[in-house]
Amino acid sequence: MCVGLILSSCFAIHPELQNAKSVNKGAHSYSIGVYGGANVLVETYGVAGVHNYGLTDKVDWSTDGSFSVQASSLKRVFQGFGVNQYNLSTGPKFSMLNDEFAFRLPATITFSAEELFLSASPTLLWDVIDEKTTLFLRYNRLYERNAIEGYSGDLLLGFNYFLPLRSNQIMLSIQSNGIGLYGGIGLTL
Amino acid sequence: MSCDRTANWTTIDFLSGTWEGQEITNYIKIQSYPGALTPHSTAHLLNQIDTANTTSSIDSAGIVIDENIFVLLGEDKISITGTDKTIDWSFDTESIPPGLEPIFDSLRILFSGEQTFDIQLLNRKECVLYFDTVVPVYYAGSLVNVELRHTQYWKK
Repeated sequence: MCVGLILSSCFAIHPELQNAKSVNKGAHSYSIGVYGGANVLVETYGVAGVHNYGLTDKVDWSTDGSFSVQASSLKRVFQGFGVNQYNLSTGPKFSMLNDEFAFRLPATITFSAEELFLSASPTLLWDVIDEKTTLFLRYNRLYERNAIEGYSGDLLLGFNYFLPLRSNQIMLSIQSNGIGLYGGIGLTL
Repeated sequence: MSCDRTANWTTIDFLSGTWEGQEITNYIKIQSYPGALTPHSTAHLLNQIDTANTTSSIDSAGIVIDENIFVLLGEDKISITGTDKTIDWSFDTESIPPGLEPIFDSLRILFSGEQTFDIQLLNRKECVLYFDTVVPVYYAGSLVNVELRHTQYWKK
């Protein structure tokens, strides 16, 4: 279990800056955000963004990207002691049950420490409380298992809360993989 | 004006003196995994570098815990000999899971004797030493390559 703790703490922890509702056919939506968090070993700071394009009224093509740095503190990040990680996920998003639920099935490319990693990131989104809050569950499943620990992915649970400001365009996002806690603030455009 | 005084300094001049520990980061990369960064504070350490005798002495709370001799390899590498005890302060083993013990058993062998560091940064105030290596580790009956990226950050 302890090995699992150290080995499952560093992968693809980024917010889900959207709700379950799909955009109209041919329409676009964008969100951007900053986030940070920590586990017992390191802190993480990053920026993220998401784009949705309406393929139909119920199906979007959803793409999100993030850049994060892990280090012992934000000061160390700026001193260059961090480890960078880039994530890009893209795939369909299916909204259902009156747009209250959505299922994303993106493929994810992660670049970290001069290596590329491929994974699938199936994600469930559930809008509650009059679309003011979105709960999400994402499993990032690596294509290739880790050689030592058999590590194959992270399960992430989180929620977005849309603040009653700027027509609900500002959201707080909190998520955890059970080891670390991460949060951020996003803006839908 | 201080820049004028160091204009002709070489690496050995900058190294001389007492350095205060800041942080050591060990980045452990294992096959098929992005890696685990395990930073820990070394603020309790003082590194007394005697360039006349080419010795380095690590002090923690008034107690000498490690002594080495070193050789400069050009202006940007330093080879440190007598590193048998270095692993004791280079890794915060309290935060390292016991399951990674095979890796550290291999590292103890690696650290014993001599280790060559890149001098990534060196000026009057800061010193960053770095090395990376691949350690073959037997795990569950198979050989796994574990890459270690080790960075020491010191300040005056």
